[in-house]
Amino acid sequence: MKYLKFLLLFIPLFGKAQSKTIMGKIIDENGPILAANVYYKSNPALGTTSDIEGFFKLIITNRKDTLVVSYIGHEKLNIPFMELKRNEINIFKLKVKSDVLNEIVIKGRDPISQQFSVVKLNKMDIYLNPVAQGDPLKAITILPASTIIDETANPSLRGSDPDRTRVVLNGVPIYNPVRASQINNQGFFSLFNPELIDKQYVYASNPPLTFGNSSAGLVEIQTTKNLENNQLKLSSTLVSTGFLVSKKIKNQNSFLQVYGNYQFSDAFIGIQEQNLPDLSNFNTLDFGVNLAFELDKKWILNSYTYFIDEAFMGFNERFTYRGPFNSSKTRVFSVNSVDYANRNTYLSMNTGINFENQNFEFGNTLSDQEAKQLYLSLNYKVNLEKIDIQSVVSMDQQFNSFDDTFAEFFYALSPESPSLSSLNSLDNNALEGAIYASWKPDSKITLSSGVRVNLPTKSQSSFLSWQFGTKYKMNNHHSLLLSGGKYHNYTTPSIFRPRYDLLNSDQIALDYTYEETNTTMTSALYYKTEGGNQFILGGIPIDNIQTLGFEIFFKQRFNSNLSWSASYSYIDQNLRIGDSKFAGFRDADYFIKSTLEFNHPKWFTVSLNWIGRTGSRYTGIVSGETDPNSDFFRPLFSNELFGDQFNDYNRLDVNINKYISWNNKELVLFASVNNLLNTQNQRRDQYNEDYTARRFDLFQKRLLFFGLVWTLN
Amino acid sequence: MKTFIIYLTLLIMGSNPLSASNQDPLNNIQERIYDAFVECNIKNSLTPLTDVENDLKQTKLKSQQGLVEYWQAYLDYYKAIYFLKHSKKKEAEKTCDQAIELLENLKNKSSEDYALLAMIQSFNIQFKGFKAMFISSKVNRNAKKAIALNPENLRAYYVYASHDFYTPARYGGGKKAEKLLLTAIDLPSQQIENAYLPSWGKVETYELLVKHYIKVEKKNEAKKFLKQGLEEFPDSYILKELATKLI
Repeated sequence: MKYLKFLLLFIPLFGKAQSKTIMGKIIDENGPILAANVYYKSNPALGTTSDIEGFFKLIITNRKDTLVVSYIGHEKLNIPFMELKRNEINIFKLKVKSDVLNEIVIKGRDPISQQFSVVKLNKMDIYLNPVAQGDPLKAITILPASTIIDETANPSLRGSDPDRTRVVLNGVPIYNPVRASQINNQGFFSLFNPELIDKQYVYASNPPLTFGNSSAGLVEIQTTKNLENNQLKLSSTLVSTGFLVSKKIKNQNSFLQVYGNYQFSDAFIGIQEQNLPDLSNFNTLDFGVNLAFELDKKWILNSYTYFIDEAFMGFNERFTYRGPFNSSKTRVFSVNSVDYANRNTYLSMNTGINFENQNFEFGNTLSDQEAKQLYLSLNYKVNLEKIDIQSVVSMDQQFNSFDDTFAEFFYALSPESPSLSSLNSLDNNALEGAIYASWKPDSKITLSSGVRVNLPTKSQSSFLSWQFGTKYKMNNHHSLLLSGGKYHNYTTPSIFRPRYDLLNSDQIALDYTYEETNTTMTSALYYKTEGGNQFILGGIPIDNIQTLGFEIFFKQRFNSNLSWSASYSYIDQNLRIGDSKFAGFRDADYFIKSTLEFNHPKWFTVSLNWIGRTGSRYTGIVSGETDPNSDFFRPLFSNELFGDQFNDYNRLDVNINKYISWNNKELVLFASVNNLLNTQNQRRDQYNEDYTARRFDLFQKRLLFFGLVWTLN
Repeated sequence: MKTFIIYLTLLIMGSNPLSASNQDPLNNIQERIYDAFVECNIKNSLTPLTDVENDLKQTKLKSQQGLVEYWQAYLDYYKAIYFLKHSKKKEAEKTCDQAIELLENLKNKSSEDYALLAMIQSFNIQFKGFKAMFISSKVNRNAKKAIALNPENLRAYYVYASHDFYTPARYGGGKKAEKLLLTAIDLPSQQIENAYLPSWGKVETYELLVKHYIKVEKKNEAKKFLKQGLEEFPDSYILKELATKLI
């Protein structure tokens, strides 16, 4: 009985509360919201919060007041109590604030395939990369997957020819992304300025089919999306002087960057002439303009235009002729994109135009080449809860013309030797469509697949490229990536091969990554067969190139100042011609890279970088004989293709830099010595007049380089 | 009768929206984390913080609000301080890295997320050697984003000011702290009192403002804000400590 009395005390209260209570559920598009504020407009202290299911109850004390529902990052709701239902659950759907949406717009620009890139670099990674010297493409060379053997920055990935790998800038392929002069290690030698870069994704195998024309790997570069500070950078080095101005137009997402550099060789050659036997002079002038403009919260325009004019004078030697080699190149390209994004869809239109004119002269060879490119692609991406789908249509139209005079007999190259003339104009229009999907059933697994087809124009063959990928993230430290597929690309025409040959590859790769605070380890096992119309030694057709590779990379940071990394790659590469098999050009028993880095903010940063690898293969000349057709001495090649090998390659570089900052100014002083030990690394075989004695042209000897960058924020 | 009593009791409990929430691990979570941190230091053991962490992991929040992640990162920050106090720098750095990753991966980050992210990044700089200058610009960027997303968020101003205060002058630090702290001090800890959401930063703002004025030898200003701070937070150990410096 006493219990009943106790309860009776509550019954009137309960009944009264229920009649004057508002019940509600607060949600946004992702579900219920916990901890949303619900309160009286006239008295914010009088309120409550929603529970884990988004539910709340609030006693009405003043029906003329207004209920406010708010939660961080969402638009506030104001509803007069009179409009609310009693004895029913009111649903309050909050909208995400538009300035938060802007963050999503930026995310929408990330590539759908980013999970499948082996490496993602940002501007900071490029600057901190011990071998990059600020060059975005050179930053890749530290990766075990980089198999460049000619000391240029044109990416060669996992044993493939650089012409099979593409570099894409804001969705547009940039062919020949390096400077013609190939003056290695003297500042920037790709066409890209690191200040303009936001992210750089490297796909060492299995290029995502959202892009075409690649059958090896892909480097995807995105220009910067927001500018933190207005900035002026002035640089001066042994070979160049330059500037970069970054200026906000209206906010961080709308800005203009303008830069220019002038490169010259006098001082560089002057202090180390004996180590630059093949270089007489070079001059380069380049300018770039990058504009990002936020039309509104959902539309972003990006325009990047680059101009370069370069000239190179030096010496070259082929077969028995050594003589002057002169080249010049003028190039302008413009990459423009318009992006639209809302919460779940993303649309972008990318256009690219490129004009270039190149001349070179060596012996009896004189070449005048022109190249034009028009690129257009439309991308539509939709982000569903667990699936992202992207469809692409693209047109890549290229025109090339060659007005050449070249040696009638390939071995007779002196200016007095007979020559032939040819005029070639050719074009290729690659019309392609692709669809790519990425599915993330849970937080550990991502599955992806893509297909790409061409719509043949003129005499093109039809093809279908396809791929699959599985990424398994075991935990925060370990992940596995299995990918494979079939890919196609067209060769870039050259004086020696003025054609667009279709190449293909079948690839499978397994990549493993272990990441811990101070330790990183990656390893990969891959196999690929590269086919299509491909030739060696200027005309011998090969059926395919088979490459089996293994690579392992290890990086350990010992403390905040000292770190060490090392990588080892093994490449078993074979060329197949009919039933015969020959060792491939990039076959290597070992390809080792190691870096020791010490950095201390108050003192300096110093890094030692060593590259050691098996010498690359070549087909040697065993003797010579008089050619009855030309009366010149002609070389007789060894019967065993790629049967000879240059000496093992070894190179040690040292870089040192000092960062100084005061007020809003920064000064970086840097210096490097490349090939510190002056190792004689063989690059090319050379012969006396009757081919009875062989000697070797060498890669870069010991070279000193230094400079400074002054930044005013 | 018994059934009626149970039914009625349940109804009465259900009519109070906060009654269920009291058992929610996210309720008063900030206070719980701080209390656990203090307990850790008294007991010389990480267990109290680990216990709160285990509770957090039990939370079955269906929406993608990122609230659990926010508090996990906040808890990690205190774990990192604990590790650092015990000279376990590696563990401290690792814990900060985890917290940063957690926050960076959040979709639709709010002003609060950016403010906490900037604070942990700023703390983490001490472990990062040469990368410090790059991380420093990240801290500034994230703090600015936090302010842009909610100009009424005192924690956003405090974090931005704190980073500026502790950045050496030769790296461009010490110029904005005062202005930012004076903005922060006029803002409430929370616009609406909410036991699930962050309210830290106010006492820390007083502390930093007093430290700033001591540093630039403006003792009268320092005393003024110390007095104001002690009125609002009479039990603050840090403010009482600072008082001894001003005597």
